[in-house]
Amino acid sequence: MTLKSRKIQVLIITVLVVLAIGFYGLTAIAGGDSKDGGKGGKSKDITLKIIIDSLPVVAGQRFIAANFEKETGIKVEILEVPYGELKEKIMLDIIGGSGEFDLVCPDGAWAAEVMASGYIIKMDDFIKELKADSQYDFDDLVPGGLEFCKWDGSWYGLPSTLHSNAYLITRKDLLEKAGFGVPRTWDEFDEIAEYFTGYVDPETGEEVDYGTITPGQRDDPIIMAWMNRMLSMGGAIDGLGIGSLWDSNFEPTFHRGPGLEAAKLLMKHLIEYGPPGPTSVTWGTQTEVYMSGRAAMIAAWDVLFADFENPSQSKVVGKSNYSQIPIVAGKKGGGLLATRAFYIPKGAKNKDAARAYIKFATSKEQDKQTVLNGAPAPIRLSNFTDPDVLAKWPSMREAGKIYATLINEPLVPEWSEIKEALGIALTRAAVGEIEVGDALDEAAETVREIFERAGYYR
Amino acid sequence: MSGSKIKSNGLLNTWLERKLPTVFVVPSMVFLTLIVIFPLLYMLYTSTRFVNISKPHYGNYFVGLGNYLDAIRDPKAMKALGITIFLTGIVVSAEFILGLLISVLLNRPGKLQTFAQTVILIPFIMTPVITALLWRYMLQPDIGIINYLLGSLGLPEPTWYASTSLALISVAIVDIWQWTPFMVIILLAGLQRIPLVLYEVAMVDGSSPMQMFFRITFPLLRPMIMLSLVFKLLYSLKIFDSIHVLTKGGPGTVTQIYNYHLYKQVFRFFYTGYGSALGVILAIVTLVFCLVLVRLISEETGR
Repeated sequence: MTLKSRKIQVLIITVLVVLAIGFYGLTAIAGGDSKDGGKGGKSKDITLKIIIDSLPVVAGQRFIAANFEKETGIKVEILEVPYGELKEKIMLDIIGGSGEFDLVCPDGAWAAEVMASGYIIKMDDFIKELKADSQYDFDDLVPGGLEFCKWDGSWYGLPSTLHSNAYLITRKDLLEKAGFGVPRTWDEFDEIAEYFTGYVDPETGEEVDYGTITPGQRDDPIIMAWMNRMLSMGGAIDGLGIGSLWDSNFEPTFHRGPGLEAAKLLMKHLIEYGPPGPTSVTWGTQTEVYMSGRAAMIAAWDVLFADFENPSQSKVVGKSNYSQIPIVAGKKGGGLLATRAFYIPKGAKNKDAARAYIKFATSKEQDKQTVLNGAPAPIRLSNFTDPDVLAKWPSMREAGKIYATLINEPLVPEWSEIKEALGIALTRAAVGEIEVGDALDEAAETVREIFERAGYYR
Repeated sequence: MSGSKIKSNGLLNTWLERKLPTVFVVPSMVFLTLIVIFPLLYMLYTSTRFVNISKPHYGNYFVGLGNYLDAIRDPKAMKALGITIFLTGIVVSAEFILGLLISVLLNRPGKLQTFAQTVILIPFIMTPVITALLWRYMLQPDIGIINYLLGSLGLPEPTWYASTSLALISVAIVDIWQWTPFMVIILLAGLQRIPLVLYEVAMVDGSSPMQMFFRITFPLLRPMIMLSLVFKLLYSLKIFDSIHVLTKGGPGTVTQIYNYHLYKQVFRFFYTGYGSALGVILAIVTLVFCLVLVRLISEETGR
């Protein structure tokens, strides 16, 4: 081969490679499914993409998706991500307008941030239609879940799941043997916790290391443990002044009254009755220790009830009572309601199909099927008393009454930043770095700065 | 073939010879510009603006060096920077000393050394997240195996990453376990390049092992030492995975390192303007540290 012919060959190959890359790049940019089922496109061409976090209730969501596919022919792809990655993925998708997802299911903790961002579509007309549909029965939806779907007077979504960790799970066998009933006040709770910390059954030799084990990890675990105690003491989220997180002018008040009392109680539960290094205890550690039989009581998530009764995971099958966390005598009980809701990003490619999915997934029958096939976390009031559901999940007998007392996390876009300040304060107190009252005072100052920067005091 | 044709073909060949290398380099340059240079310039631009991408109602406006001043005046950011520098000092020093000791021990022929050289790489090839998860369970004060073994031997059972005094040490342990093999690989490669004849001559002259180490091994190993320290310094100043998995910056803020603080500002609270300024500051600090290190080692070698 001559030098000249070799150079020409190399040049031809180079040009072909560049053209191939360019062609591929152009088809990748221009391609993609942009058909919308409601505008004359074929259902079989549509793939609805949903992003949710890896909760036990996801099994129920996959069940719904399969039913939806059968009924409509629209394929559904569910992307499950660990909770820690969910916010980042959702926010970057909706802000960037990439349209990767047709439905996003953020945590209710940052629902306000999502709705206020302006990157998801309003659903006022859609909700009007649903309210007019008697078969849908809009009023059957749990009111607490709907709070996360409205912002500034407009509707933005509907709840996909509701759950709570304001449940008290107690070892009924141990309590009955020791002559205790299910604790209904924090005083009774403390008495039982103290009794069982370091307990050894004189007859069987069974060891119970901890009267109770409470998650103390920075961020959600310790904050929710604190807020549950605060709310059960008659506290509120906002507007009450002392007794709520902040007053009607957004001046922090959580460092006084029930907020401070709840924090002191939390420190007692973390340090006196639980394992060493309380800030290392995650929700996972808590349930593992309980299921291994080493703790007498825990306040835990209802979505984990199935695990407690699963012989392959739990050593306490059939030994647990499920009730609500205690209340301060004479005050209203409560706790936090956790939510996931369906929202449609403005950049979603299949909005009509997404709306159809929301209606389908939140219908009475599908909600019931979700509970029967997933976890005891209905979004409809009627499913709290449905005989089939109660037969499957006896633990839900009290759930309806419990859910009626639960309160949502604050609906302010700055809640993530506020939680950062609270988490730092509570963990500093939990490791003895600072007195809990001083820790909350510092957090209150930080929260005030956050509200000031956001313009709440203008 | 006519003379003019011969001439034009020669010119074409010369042009091709000159331009063809450029043609092959252009795709890389385009890629580099898109992936590195443009984002860097955009980050510098964003760092001069107040912007929160999840809260457009806050506004998006020019603040000049305002974000940088806020970062310098922010006690959390400066504390995070201090913790990062302190942690970097601990892990880089420990990994270098351990890495050097292990590489000297492994720098001998033999089947056992070959086997050890392979086994020692295992921590390094594990992903940082898995490593951190593994150590989170091992160091868990209640159910972790480390405390179980310590308790069995009658020793105290510390609360590791749940303790203000030991949390940073716990993070350091994870990093040292994972990254010492990296030092070993680099330093071992350097040791194996040193001609054996130098040691033979030194032995004939009656030099002790310590003298041989400080007079032969260490000076000739300096380029590899510089390489390994610079790489590790670059990585350590940006540690993230072990903090995110092990402590989430807690308890309190004792392990809230700079990169984690930056991550929270950008990916949790979406203050991209402020976060960009934090990123630029980190880049400058990293550059300064690397330049100082390279200078120190270069001065010693006389290069």
